[in-house]
Amino acid sequence: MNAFIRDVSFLSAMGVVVLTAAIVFVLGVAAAPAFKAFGWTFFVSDSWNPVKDVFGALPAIYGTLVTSFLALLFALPVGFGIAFFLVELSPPFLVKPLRVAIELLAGIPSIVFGFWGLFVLAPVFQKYIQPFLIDTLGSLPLIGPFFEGPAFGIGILTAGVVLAIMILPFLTAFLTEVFKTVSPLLKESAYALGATRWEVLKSIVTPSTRASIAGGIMLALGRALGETMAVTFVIGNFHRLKLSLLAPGTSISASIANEFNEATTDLHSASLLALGLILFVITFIVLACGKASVALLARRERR
Amino acid sequence: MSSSDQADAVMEIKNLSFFYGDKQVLKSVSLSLFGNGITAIMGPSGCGKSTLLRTLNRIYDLYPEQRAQGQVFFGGENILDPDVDTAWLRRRVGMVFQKPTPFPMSIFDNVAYGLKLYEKMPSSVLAERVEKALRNAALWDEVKDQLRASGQSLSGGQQQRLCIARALAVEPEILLLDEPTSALDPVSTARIEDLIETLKKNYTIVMVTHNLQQAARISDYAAFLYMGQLIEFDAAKKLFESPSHPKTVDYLKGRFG
Repeated sequence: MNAFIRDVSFLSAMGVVVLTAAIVFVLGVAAAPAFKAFGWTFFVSDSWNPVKDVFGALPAIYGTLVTSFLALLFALPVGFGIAFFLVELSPPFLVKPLRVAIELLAGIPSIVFGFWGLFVLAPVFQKYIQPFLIDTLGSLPLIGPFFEGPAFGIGILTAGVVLAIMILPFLTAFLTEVFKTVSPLLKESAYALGATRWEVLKSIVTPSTRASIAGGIMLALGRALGETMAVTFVIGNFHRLKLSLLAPGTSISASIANEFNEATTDLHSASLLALGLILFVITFIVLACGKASVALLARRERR
Repeated sequence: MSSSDQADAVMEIKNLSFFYGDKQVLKSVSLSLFGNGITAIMGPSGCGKSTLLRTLNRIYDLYPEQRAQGQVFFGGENILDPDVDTAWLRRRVGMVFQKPTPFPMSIFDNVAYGLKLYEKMPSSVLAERVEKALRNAALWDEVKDQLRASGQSLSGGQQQRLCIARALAVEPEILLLDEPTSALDPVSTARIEDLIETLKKNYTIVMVTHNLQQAARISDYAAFLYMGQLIEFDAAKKLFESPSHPKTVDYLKGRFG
């Protein structure tokens, strides 16, 4: 019996490895024609023309990275704030309703976020936020090009905001658990010296949990990178590289979702699969960096 | 206590009651803390001795369900008054906890932490103040060559002395010690006790302990709390040698707690 259980669990464990290897292999084989046809230019070209059968991945890679980065940029301070409020500041009667609200946010299907982003958020952005950004930041040197008009409503920035809201529940839940691990005595010691809540968050809670926070950020980034449906709704699906965050763009997963059914030529579908392979590699690198930074910081904290 | 003793009371606690939600844990406790001496607060677990200590720097403020009633006079003010600036209070009333709590930063920064909260000073002055605090806590000789090392890399006893140095650095008038040796081995405990005895020359020390021998060894005044009530408070010698209340007698004989 013991041997049976051992064999079955060994086979299951091996199954995961084989499955992963097989997926990567098939993806690689299917994407090979694209790499063969375009070589390195596939990564740096921004032309995407199914009619002429010419494809470049740069706009999709740029869109994926920038929307995910924006999502983290917006979600991190808010998630930090919510988590610190829940653990340190909230009156007890508010903790439960807040947690339920965050869990409900996590339960909203991705496609609903997409609808909401397209029909509610995008018009608000088009009417108020984007014109404001164009008028103020758009004319500045250096960062100006990132905020050039016209105001489309949809685009990279809008996708970033929708993504931020989508990763917020995960980030908040993660940070809440992390903050709870800080010993109450340690925090009280700082308060007893006259520290304020902000000073305790800055110099006690955050440094004590650096490794876990870094891990959580990477996991959140991993989620943002692969998110498809909501992004497809609001990013604009425009295959030209525009620096401006207000312009429509595309992301890897949005391109695949939009075009795979309509891919007419072999090279078109191979290019889409190559995009998938690139996304896989990016996500893998992010997770590996996350693991590495956690290990590094954990070692430093032990010393 | 005669009225002449009242004159040099550093802190006066009057009719202090304390509640965790609906549960009352201190019942109208009145007590004076005298300067340049060690006051030991004793009692069995759950008698409210830590709670009493936690009232004196308003650290209980962090928890909305906890509240205190009555008056505690210090520096001419009733510190339970909600208008009292807790940063002002906590600068004058330092606290050390049951377990060492070094902050996640270097030894130097641990001691400088409180100083930096209150005032900007040139780094040379800051270094002097840190050295002085570490010397006062009898830790300087052990750490002077590794001030940049993490505070968490020290041994348990060293960590606790670091916490005492951290509290001393802002030069408080009162030092609250909440069972400061309960997590330490006997050798470290003895060192901390020696340290506390030298500190009483310059500070008013209030120490919660459930270790009767410790209280008898080093305290000048002793209070016995039982189920939230102050049973007896007197000079330590008097309280240990001829306690006047039968409950105190039972406690000292080890019949409970």
